[in-house]
Amino acid sequence: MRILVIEDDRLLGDALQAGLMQRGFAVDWVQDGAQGDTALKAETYAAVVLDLGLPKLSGLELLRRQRAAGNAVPVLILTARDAVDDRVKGLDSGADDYVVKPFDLDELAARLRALTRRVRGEASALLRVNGVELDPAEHRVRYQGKPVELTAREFALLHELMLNVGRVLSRQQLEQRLYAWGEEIESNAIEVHVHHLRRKLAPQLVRTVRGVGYFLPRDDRD
Amino acid sequence: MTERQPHHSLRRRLLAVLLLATVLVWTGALLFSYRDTRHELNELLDAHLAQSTAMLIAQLGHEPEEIDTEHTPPLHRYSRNVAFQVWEDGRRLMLHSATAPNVLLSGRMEGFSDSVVAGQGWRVFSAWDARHRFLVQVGERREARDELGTTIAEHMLRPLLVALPLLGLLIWFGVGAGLRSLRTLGGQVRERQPDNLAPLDAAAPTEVQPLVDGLNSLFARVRASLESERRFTADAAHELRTPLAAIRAQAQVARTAGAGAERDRALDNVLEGCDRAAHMVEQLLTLARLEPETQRAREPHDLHALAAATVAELAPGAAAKDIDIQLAVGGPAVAPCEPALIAILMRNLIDNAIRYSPRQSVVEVAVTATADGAEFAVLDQGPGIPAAERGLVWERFYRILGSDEPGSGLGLSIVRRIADLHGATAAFGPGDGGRGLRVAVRFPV
Repeated sequence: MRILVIEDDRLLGDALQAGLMQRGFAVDWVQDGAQGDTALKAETYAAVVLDLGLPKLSGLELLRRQRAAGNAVPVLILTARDAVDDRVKGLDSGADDYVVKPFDLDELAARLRALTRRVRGEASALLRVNGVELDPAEHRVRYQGKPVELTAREFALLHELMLNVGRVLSRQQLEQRLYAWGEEIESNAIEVHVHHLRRKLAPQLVRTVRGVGYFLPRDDRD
Repeated sequence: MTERQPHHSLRRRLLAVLLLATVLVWTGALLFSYRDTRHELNELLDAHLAQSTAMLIAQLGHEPEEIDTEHTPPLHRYSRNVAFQVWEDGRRLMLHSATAPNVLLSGRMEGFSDSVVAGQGWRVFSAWDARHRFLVQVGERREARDELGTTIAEHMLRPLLVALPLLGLLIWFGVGAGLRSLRTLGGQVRERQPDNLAPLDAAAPTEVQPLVDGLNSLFARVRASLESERRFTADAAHELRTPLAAIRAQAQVARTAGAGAERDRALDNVLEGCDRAAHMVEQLLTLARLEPETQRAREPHDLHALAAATVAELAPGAAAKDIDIQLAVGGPAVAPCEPALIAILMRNLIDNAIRYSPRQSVVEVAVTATADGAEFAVLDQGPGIPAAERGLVWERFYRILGSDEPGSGLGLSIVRRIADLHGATAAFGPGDGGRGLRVAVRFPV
């Protein structure tokens, strides 16, 4: 899942990026509102972590602009202001969640997962497709009840495919969701990860649509 | 709260003063009128004595021997105090009243006289008849006159004895009623919640109005100072949340990372975050210490020497950034100031200049004596401050947008506060040739 962090504080932004990456997100980090606006126009994100006291373009103004432009990306506001008025204003401006500094990284990650889940209309945190069970919070995968060890990138790829079950995702789309800016993407990286997933889980789990991309077929029992 | 014993009661003091004044004035007036009355009474009684004597003499003229008053019963209780004697040739007592002694009441001289006979004081009028044969003396006991005087005095004093307590009561309740507004006011102040600093709206009499005005003005000042303190605390707490959040998140990253370069980097960031938070706390404390209005008489100091010391202190840091820091040559520029505060002001401004200057640039510090004081100026070749923001940067926690430099956002607030305390003005302007920034603080003499 690719997240955009808009935070002007250098140390905090750095920690958000590193911490959320540790927790399985691909993270882009920009330091002012204008850059945030540009990034949101250029890329598709699963969620946005937005600081309010931003240079150049305030967080709330950025949020209003995005909502006015029809961008429904889930937005989590991160702020030092905890008065009820501030929260109400933030939520009314179109935010989906509101976290007051200082915060816990694990909780923040959980809230981001919850936000993305809600967007997809899912109630359960666990994803289940064709005998594969993925727990985004615990970073655990089971296949037919048995635990399977995956690397962080393999896990992220499987997560994306399971989130979009039945839909074909192109290699570019997958790269875009799995890698933040500046991260080196080895050529044929996605192919290699798909290969590993098939080996560790089941050969027929991930289907290839030649020249287009990959998808997970819907559950047979559905 | 300790109840302090009041020094005195206004009511009791007014009562005492008013009663004392009343007694004094009244007694004075009584003394005068008593003296007048005694005088008039004496004249009246003397006239009676003289008249009685004249009547006796007139009687004697016709038939002195026939007059027999020796057996006349006293007609009036007061007549016991009156006596008369008729002396033939002034030696033989021919006639006398029952109340009269057997010796001469007074000398043989005509007219009024005072005498003592058998231990009794007498007021006597003596007269000879026309043929100078009989001496008639009519006397009145002095005791009686004194009794009369005492009675009169008592009669005059009695109303005072009744009036004084009555007057006291009237004064007591009158003053009490007059002071009721003070009590009401006291009650209002006492029953106030500590956070209620609204002005008092008690209808106060003219004499109490200054107290009400004074209290209201105090309330207003306390309210303003509390408000500013509350804002300051809230601002400070909010501003500290970001560095704390950064420290916490970095620490969590370090813990998740396990051993290795990623953890070391996160731990370095934790330390940096702590330093940054500590710096902010430091600046907050400096600012808090500057908050109270301390207007003291200040000794004149040479700002040039102070600037030289500050530049020397900051030069190594500048050198590390390849910044050439210069103090313009100049003579002493004296202004009354507190050197410790001015050093903080100068350090903040020069430090800002170094912080925001690009590497290999020049920071110029200058102190000049002007016609109406002294000017301290710092010129840098950094990005400058857009004209629209030059007024805003003095606000607490205001940070220039997009600036990467870590700062508390308090340095300029401190500068302005110190400038204010010295009656100095601080302002930003464009640097040389529109590039960089020039900040100048003008001190009055």
